[in-house]
Amino acid sequence: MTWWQKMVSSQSVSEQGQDENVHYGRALKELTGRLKKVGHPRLLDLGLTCGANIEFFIRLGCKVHVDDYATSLMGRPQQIAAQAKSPVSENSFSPRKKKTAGPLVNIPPVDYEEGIFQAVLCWDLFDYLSGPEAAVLAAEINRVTSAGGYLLALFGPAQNTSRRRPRRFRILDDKSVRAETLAGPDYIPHHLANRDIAHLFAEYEMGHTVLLKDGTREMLLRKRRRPEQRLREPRMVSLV
Amino acid sequence: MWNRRENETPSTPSRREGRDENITPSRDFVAAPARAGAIHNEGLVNIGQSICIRGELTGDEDLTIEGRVEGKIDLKDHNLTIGPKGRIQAEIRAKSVIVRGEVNGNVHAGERVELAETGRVIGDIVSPRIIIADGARFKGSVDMSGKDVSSRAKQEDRTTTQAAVITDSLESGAPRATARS
Repeated sequence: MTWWQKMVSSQSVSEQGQDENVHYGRALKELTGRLKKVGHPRLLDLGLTCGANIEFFIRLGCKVHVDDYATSLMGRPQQIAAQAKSPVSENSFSPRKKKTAGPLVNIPPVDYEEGIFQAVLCWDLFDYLSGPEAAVLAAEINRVTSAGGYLLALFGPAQNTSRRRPRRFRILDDKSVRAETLAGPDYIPHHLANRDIAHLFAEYEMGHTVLLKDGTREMLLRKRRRPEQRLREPRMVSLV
Repeated sequence: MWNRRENETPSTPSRREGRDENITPSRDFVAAPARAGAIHNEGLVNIGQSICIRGELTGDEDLTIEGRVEGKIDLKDHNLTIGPKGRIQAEIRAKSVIVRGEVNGNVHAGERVELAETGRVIGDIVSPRIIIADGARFKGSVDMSGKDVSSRAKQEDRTTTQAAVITDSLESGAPRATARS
């Protein structure tokens, strides 16, 4: 084998060994590490149903709830999706804004009681949503998440607005997640800027933000405890 | 004469295999759909597409439902298969449940629950083993603690610890990973 053949063969092996669709982030590892400390946490997966993800969190000791929310979003009428492509003003991202009764906001509710989940996985759901829709979904996630609970989300690169197909995220291990492109209609992603995300999740604090190779922002957020809770806890201690 | 036989078009590989195994053609014909359904072909009962049952459905044999059932299904130690056109709005209890159609209700299985690619479940699943294929739709919680296992399943599992297996592809056959608790 000549030096050229050796070089070509080594290159091809390295290229085969790397899967471009596998994301190597830190947020998932951080999340799993924190969930291990919580006794039997309840976790809600809003992404496309994936057996591997359910298995992964059950092995961690989580009580896993699956809501095939992404499929519901994809099944929305095309008219709504087309309207959602229009750019939205910054103010519309405010989470304090109540649900606006209008044709733009047509997303299914998250049918769970308030504050019952210690972790919510929403993957890249926000890429499917326009500004007002994202605000509604963020409010719903905020409602079902317990104080101190975690949210794992992926936000696409802000510059890239080319059409793409929906993706399913399959957890390979606590460091890597594979994004699988599915057959289905293309959609134009709605990418949120960091300031928009901060507006949407004003009641959360940023845990980890990792910029992945393809420009996707992987974020782990933690819901802040309510001010009343923070104040009450020391008072009770002082009374005792 | 020998040459003529060699020139004849051979039968399908499955039938040839069947003949080699001394299986009569009629038996082969019956066994084919059962193999695809991955359940025992003996004692299999079908509820056809045009049948709608409202109330409690109990039995002591394996059952395939292609029609509609509303109420409750209790098969204790037997297998239940919900066909692609089956529409169930009921609480299900069985040894193993294969869902290829739609289920709206909680599913309790002593051994395992398979949610096929075309399957859709809205409800909680309680089973020591759950198999979810890619493309399946599921809304509800998963409980693999095994609290609801039937007595028979408990006896079978007495010697071994509970194993939780979830595969992502039914087609591949082999389980992707195994978790033990």
